[in-house]
Order: sequence, then structure tokens, then C-alpha cells
Amino acid sequence: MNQSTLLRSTLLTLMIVLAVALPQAVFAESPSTGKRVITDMLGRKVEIPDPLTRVALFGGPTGQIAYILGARDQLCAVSKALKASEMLNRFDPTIRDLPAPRGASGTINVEDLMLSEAQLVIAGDLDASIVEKKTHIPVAYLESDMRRGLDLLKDEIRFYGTVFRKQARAEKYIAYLEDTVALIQSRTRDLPREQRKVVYNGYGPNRLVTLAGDSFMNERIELAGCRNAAAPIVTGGKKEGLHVGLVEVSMEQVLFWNPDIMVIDFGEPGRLFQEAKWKTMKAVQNRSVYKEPVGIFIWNRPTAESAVLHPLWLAKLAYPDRFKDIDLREEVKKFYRQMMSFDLTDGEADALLNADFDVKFGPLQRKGNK
Amino acid sequence: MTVVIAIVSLMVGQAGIHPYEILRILLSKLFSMERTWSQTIEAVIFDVRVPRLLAGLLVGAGLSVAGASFQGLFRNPLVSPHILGVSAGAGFGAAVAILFFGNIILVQVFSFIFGLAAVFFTYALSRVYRTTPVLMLVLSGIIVGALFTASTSLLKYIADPVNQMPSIVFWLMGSLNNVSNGDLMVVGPLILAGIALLLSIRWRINLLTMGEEDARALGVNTELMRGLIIISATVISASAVCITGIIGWIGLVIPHIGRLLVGPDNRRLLPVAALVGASYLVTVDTLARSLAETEIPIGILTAMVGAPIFAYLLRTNRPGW
Repeated sequence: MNQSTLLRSTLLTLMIVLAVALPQAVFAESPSTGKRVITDMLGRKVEIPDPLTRVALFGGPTGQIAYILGARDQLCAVSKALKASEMLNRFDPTIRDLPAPRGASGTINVEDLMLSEAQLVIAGDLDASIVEKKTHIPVAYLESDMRRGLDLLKDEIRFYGTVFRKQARAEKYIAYLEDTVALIQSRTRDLPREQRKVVYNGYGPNRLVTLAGDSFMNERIELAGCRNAAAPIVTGGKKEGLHVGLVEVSMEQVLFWNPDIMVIDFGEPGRLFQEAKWKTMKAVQNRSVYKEPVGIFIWNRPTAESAVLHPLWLAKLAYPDRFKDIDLREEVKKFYRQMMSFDLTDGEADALLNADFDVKFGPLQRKGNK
Repeated sequence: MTVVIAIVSLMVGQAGIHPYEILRILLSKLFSMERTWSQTIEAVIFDVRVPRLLAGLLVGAGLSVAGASFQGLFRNPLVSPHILGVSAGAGFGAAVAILFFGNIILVQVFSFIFGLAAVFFTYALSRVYRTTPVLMLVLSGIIVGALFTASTSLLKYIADPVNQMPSIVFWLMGSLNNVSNGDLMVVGPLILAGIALLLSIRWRINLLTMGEEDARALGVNTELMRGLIIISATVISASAVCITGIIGWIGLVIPHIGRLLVGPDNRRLLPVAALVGASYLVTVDTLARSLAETEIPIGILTAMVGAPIFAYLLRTNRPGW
């Protein structure tokens, strides 16, 4: 086994060296290929070509940033999840023509990546280390930490802004984000802690998997002027095969928390109303069980779209009186129009809010409930 | 002892309800009483703790009896009810349902069906080779189990890391967290029937442990007995696994503890194993849901408690099973 691995890696290295060295050898004298050095999110210096025209973007939740920055033309490869987004396919059909060498986290088709002639790969630590080990393409590391919220997102947007030379667009998004946060807070600031609605995210078929107190979700719920039911729970770092912050809680615990609002990830909220064990929960009695909206991706991720719209959506659900003048449909249309130049119809905005868009988990299609 | 543990288990939990109040709530179902407690507390008792307790008793007893019968049938102390691939099949079924449907009822139905299917494959495969049937059963079980386990790994590999993966991981580690009264109505009778059948033929299992030829000489229809034991044990474990996920060690270790208590005679061993198994699982589940604020997967605890006991038993190396 050792021998064959050795042989394989030798062959692979040879291929890579050839693939990388040959074109460089040919174009080495070309005067237009300048270089510049960027600092990636882990503080490493990475030398990249200038101008940068072919970037492979593998960050799971951050793929959509290219649209916010107006840098779609600079992409040469993306992750499968981004390519599979129903909403994205509708507004940017050319996404179908891009190769997607990154499947699930940790699976990179190195050949496809090399064929895409990427000048730079931007990826989270696991994917990035694979690319770094197997190719000579410059790699910029993202910081993927489910514990950090908006501060990380802003760092990320600014980092992408520098890479794509779209700093102004990055600042435009951050201003939009901060305006939205300020708006929500101006409406909810005076709410005493004990009057704030308690929100419980019930994921998975048993609705008992949740994002705990040490995940970005905690900040997001707080931003919406609510309290995370699972806030006291700390998952204590990374578990084998699981992201930080994800945990299974007991049914008894959930009933004891007695949340005012429950958000589920798939299935029909109506089904919960029929199950006896949920019947005493406030969220069920008040029919305040909602399905997480799906835009480019499902909103319970640290993405750019959800950082703005998710807290607004939640705040409006929690305190309809305080957000009477906010029309979510219009807010959704405004965000995607101003930030990504996607013009959603009323019907499409409603579909997004009703989680009717398909989101593809891995290579499997989850059918929207239409 | 089982009764005492059951009562203590009802009293303990994260919600921290006073035991006296719990007693009153329970009695209020029998006598009319003034309500001094909230709806939530009553729901916690009747919709969460009671079904959990009953499931713990049933599953603990069922897996232990099934394990003891299998150990007798295969004449091997290392055999557990999962030896024929039932849990591997059930795990695969559950992962398929989590990935494609995300509906709790389908997760249970799929795990039950795939659990049974896995054992059916094992049995069919063992019939292909016309040599020592018991050995072939075990080997076929390993083959089928490996196939399903690998398939489950494949599904985990393509699952979404936030909305699907955790459900699969937690399901595979086992938990009584998902049990509802409705589940018990369906699965409870199946487990009870399986236990009853095994208990009613337990003296014949004794004969089987003497070896197939001897048993046949004594007039036992070994083929039929083997079929009956496999079917009952499989129905028990598939039913258990579909509401609780995979709980290991119980079916392997409890029969040995039973043997320490009453010796290897299956006539006495099976009932004792049932009681010990029920007490053990309820105790461990009580720990699982009250030790920490989050749910500790019970599969982890049963193994962590069961493994040292098993190691000790191996050291003492008592003969006869």
C-alpha cells in the first residue's frame, strides 16, 4: 500500500509540476503578468498574479460574496453547493458552465481544479490544505469558525474585497449590514431582557439538533432582539465529524425552555401541531413555528445574505407591532437588487421567504414543498 | 430493584421538578386532585419521561434477552443481537431517510425495514453455503453488516454538515430522546411479543447450547428453533433500534452479568437478563439526560460503562454459556 501510494503521489506531483511549470515556462516573458502579495485570513502572505482573472472559490458559505462584490467574472471554479442553488441558477444561468471541483468539505477533484487554470484558490482550512499539498496553485486560507459571527463576516468581506480589488463594494455591503442591524436595534433596544422572545432552532427529523450558545447563531438571534433558547449550552470545541456549535438537546429540556418561536429546517411546521409531545410549548400553542427561508442557500449559515436578512426576518416575526412598516418581501427584493443585482419578482421573494427554493445538500436534491 | 430504579428515574431530570409533585401528578391520573402544577410539567412527565422510561425498560429487557438467546444459539459469548447485521441495516435505513426525507416517522420505518432486510440477507447468504449453518450465519452477518456500514459511511460523506450530518451522527450513537407515546404503541407490543416468545422457548435454547447434533438427538427441531430465535431476536432489535438508534453493549454484556448472578441455565438466565437489562438501560439513560445540560448519546455511556465490566468478566473467564 505504501508503495502504491508513493507511486501515485509521485505521478501526481509529476503531473502537477508539468501542468504548472509548462504554461509558466511558455508565458514567463509575457510583460503583463505582474505579481502582488495579499495577506489571507490566517495572516499568511500569498503571492498572486496581478491582474487576477481566474479564482477558484471553495468557501462553503462565502461563495455568494463574489456576487456581492461584482466579481463573478473572476471566478473560474466554485463549490458544488453554490452551483446547485436553485436561486443562483435562476439569476445567473452561466454558473452551470463553471466547474465545481469541490464537493463536500474535504473532497477536491484536483484534476478538475487544475483544468480550470485557477490563479488562486480561496478555501477553508481542510480544503485549502489539500489544494496546497497537491498543487502549486497559490492558496488563500479562510478562517472558518462557526463560533464567530458578524466580526468574522466583515473580515471575510474585506478580505475578498482586497483580493478582487473591490474594496468599495465590500464597504457598501458592510454599510448595508450595519444599517440593517442598527434599524433592528433601534426598534428592540428598549425591550427588557425578560420580555424578549425566546427562539429555538429545532433541526433534523427529530427537531432536537440545535445551534448552541457558542455558535454564530446566538449572536444572530440576539441581533434580532430575541434570546436563543440554547444559549446556556456550550459545545466545547470541535467534535469528530461535526461543526462547532451543533448539539442534540433533550425533549425535556426543550419543553422546559418553552420557547416562544421555533424555527425548523425542513418539513412542515403543521406537522408539529399534531404531535402530542410538543403541544404544551408556547411556540406550538401560538402557531409560531416557522421554516428557515432559503435564498442562495438556507439562512441558518454564516452567509452574507442571511447575516442581513435573517435577523430582520426573525425580528419581524417576533415583534410584528414594532416592525409594522417593514415589508419583508420588499426588503428581500431590495437586498438582492442592491447587493447582487438580482431582480426578484414578488412571487420569487415570497418563495424565498417560504423556503420554496431548492437547496441542494451535498449532491442530493431536497425537494421544496411547492 | 427494577421498579425502584424506574421510580427514581422518573423523579430525575433537567426540568428539576420536585419528586413530591411528580408523585401527585402521577396519582392525579387515578384520583381527582387539585391541579397545582403547570401544563408543561405534566407534559414533561407524561409525554417525555414516562415514554422514555417505558422505552428504556422495554429496549433494555429486549436487547438483553435477545443477546442471551443469541449467545446460547451461537454458543459463543461474544455474540450480541447485532451480530446478524440488524443495526448496520437499520443505521443505513435511517441515514437514507434523514438524507432524502427528513421526516422522523420515515426515519423509523426505514430503519426498521432495513434492519429486518439486513438479517434476511444474512440468512439468505448463509443458506448459500451448505456447511455448518451457525458459523455461516455469523460470517454472513459480518459480510452484510460491513456492506451496510460502508454504505452508511458513504451517505455521511455526502450529507450536509449542518442540517443532516448531526442527525445521522446522533442517531448512530443512540438515544431514547426521540421516543414518543405513539412510537411505544407500535413498537412496544412487538418487543414484548419477541421477549415473550423467547422466554417461552428458553428451555429449548438450553438444549441447543449442547450442540446441534445432541439437540437433534433429543428430538428438538433445530432448524425451526433457530428460525424462531432469529426472528424474535431480530424483531426485538429492529424495533428497539428504530426508536432509539444504535445502543451497543447491552445485548452483549447484560447476559454475562445475568450468568454471574444465576449461572448459565437459560431457564433462569433469560428472565434475569431481562430485568437486569431493563434496570441497566434506564439507569444509564437517566444519567444520559441529567448529567449534563445537553443530551449525552446513550450509546457512548453504555459502552463506557459496559466495556470495563466486560473486561472484568473476561478476566474471571467463567465457563459455560
